[in-house]
Amino acid sequence: MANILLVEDDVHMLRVTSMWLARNDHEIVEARNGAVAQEFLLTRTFDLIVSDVNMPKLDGISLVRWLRSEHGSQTPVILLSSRSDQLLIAKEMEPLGVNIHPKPFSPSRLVADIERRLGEAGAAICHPSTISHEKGDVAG
Amino acid sequence: MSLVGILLFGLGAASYRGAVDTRERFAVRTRLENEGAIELLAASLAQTQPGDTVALQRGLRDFMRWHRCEALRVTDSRGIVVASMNLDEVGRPVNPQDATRERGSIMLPPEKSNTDRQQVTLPIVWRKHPSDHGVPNLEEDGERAWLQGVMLSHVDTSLANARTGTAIVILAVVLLFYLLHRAMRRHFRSMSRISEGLLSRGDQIEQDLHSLRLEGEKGALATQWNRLIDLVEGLSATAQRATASAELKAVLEKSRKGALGEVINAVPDGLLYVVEKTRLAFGNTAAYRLLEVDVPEDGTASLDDLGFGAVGTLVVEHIRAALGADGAFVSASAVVEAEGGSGSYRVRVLPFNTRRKTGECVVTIADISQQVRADKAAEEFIAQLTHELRTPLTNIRAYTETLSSGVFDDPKVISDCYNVITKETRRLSRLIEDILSMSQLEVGSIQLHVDDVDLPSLLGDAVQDLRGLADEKQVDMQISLPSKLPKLQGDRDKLAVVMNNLLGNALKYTPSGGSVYVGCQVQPASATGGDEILVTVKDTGMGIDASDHSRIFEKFQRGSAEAVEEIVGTGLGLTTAREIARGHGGDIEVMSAEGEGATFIVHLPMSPQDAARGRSLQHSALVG
Repeated sequence: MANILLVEDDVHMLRVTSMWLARNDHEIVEARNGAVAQEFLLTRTFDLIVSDVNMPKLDGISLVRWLRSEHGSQTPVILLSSRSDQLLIAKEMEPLGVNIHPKPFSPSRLVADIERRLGEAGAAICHPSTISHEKGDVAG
Repeated sequence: MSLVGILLFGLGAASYRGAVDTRERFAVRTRLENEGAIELLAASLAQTQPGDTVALQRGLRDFMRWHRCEALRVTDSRGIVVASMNLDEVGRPVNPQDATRERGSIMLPPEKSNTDRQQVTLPIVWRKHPSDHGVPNLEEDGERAWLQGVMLSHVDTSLANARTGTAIVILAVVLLFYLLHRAMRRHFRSMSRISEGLLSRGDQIEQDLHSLRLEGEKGALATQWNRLIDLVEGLSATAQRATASAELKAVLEKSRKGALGEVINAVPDGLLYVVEKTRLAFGNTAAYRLLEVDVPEDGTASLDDLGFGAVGTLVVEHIRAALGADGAFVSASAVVEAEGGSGSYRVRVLPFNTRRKTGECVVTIADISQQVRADKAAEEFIAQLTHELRTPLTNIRAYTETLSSGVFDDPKVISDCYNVITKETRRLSRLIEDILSMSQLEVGSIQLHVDDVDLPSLLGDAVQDLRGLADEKQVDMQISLPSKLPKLQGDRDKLAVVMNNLLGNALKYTPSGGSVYVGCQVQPASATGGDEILVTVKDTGMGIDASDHSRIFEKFQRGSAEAVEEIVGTGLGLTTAREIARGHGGDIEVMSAEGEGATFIVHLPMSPQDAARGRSLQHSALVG
């Protein structure tokens, strides 16, 4: 079981991703934007961060830059990007240990990519699973 | 040469003849002198006592101090030598070969040394009785001896030397002349060619100075001549350039002050004319403004002396980079970016080499800031648009796969999946429609079909179109119009989109039991100086946080409140509405606070002049 921080401003995408990840008995923490994710990261650690790129308050790229520089964390990150400039994003993010997963995506493939990443990071799968719907205050 | 040779020959012949004549005269004089000298000696010896051989010897010795003699002796009457310069022959009979008893002198033939000799023989008579005239009297005088001497000719020797010297001098002169001729021959040939070239060209000499060079000639004169020609050519070219520059300067100066100067200075792009690699011969007003430098007083200046601003420095660097090693400019183009992204400029260097003149170019500086910004905005719009289209597609695909996987068999989950798919499909559809609507607004300008617009009628139609939705949501919708409202100049269809978008938003974001108000009034417009119509759409809905007041007008942006997410919207409605309002010369303002409803006010100028000014929109509907 791994602790996964899921950062996504689209409620539908957040819900379906959480549903699929929960099948693999991971603990999911949901954040509606990058600013809420920062608040979570300041108080706890995660085995993996899955984040969208385009979000209000703080976008995914800015979150990763803060994570690696100011926060000094090397937590693996997967960015979900539907932008046309994915190559440019990958060029900057991959040296920081970030994988880019393009949108639209298949949930099963995303889960497989997440499991592979967790495996590379040496995370253990444990039982039972819970989904923590700790949604931050989006408007705040 | 032949003339000189004849002259030299004549000189030599004359010299030789003169030497010969001189020799003969000197020979005669020398003989007479020698005879006189011997006579004096004889007379002197006659003063001694007869038989005083010592005195005789002394006399001979004194004579030899002053005269060159080959032989000098005194013999007695018997022919016995009693005194001589050669002591070995004293007391001996004189050599019969040398003995003579005749008074006089003879010129002996020259020996191998070519020295003339004169033999003089005189009697020595000791007088018993001295006579007045001193001539020996053979009858009365006493003992007699004979003085014989062979005297050498100093003059002959000198003549011989002079002859030899003359010959040597002549030979030396000939040799010197020959050597001088050899040395000067090369120069004479060069001078001959130079004079031929100069004379043959006459008045056309300045047309082709280069042909006067002595090609293939060696020697200092030819080398220096060629250098002189090169120097003159260079000076000529410099003078031509200076003349051309002076003429050009006069033309440019004249053009600055004339109509051409006004035209050139009116061109918004910078224009520079660079000469002599680094000299700024001309620049228009736009160029000096872009370079951030004052116009030189005489209109020209060196690029190295002018103090450029940041952009100017980059432009000058680009000009210098286009200068090749051979001193000629090459074509070059580059974009110069001002610091902080405040401007972008395309700099083009166009070589202007004519008639072997190099180091000249024309430089154009075009401000492409707006185009660069538009291109960047277009790139950002495409990226954003891609994201907006892919988001609902992602949801549709994810939920479709969730359903088809069969993994989730909870009925509620299945029902939610279908609902999301339906919603996102509609969202995608509306998004595409809004994008198509915006695409009708031409990039960079909005084309309005201006005519009289009955605004009350337009508002009434918009309200009526949404009456059903309002009733469904149980939202009270009211409209209030003044009794008299002047006709508005504008595009009715575009204005209808504005009203529909504002009314639609008001209804969407107002919960059941709320109300929407539409009003209209005329008031003076401070900006245009004329009157303007204000259309107000006010609701009692969820309101908009102040931090979002400007963002909601940007493409694909909506309010950040969480509740907004639950309401379907593309984020393009307010963008379109504002672009249309601005196209009419007006604008849209919002007054709202979260949870306290929202009021949108559309400002529309009424005068035809303002409407015409609004036909050309500075803000891009799609990319700005």
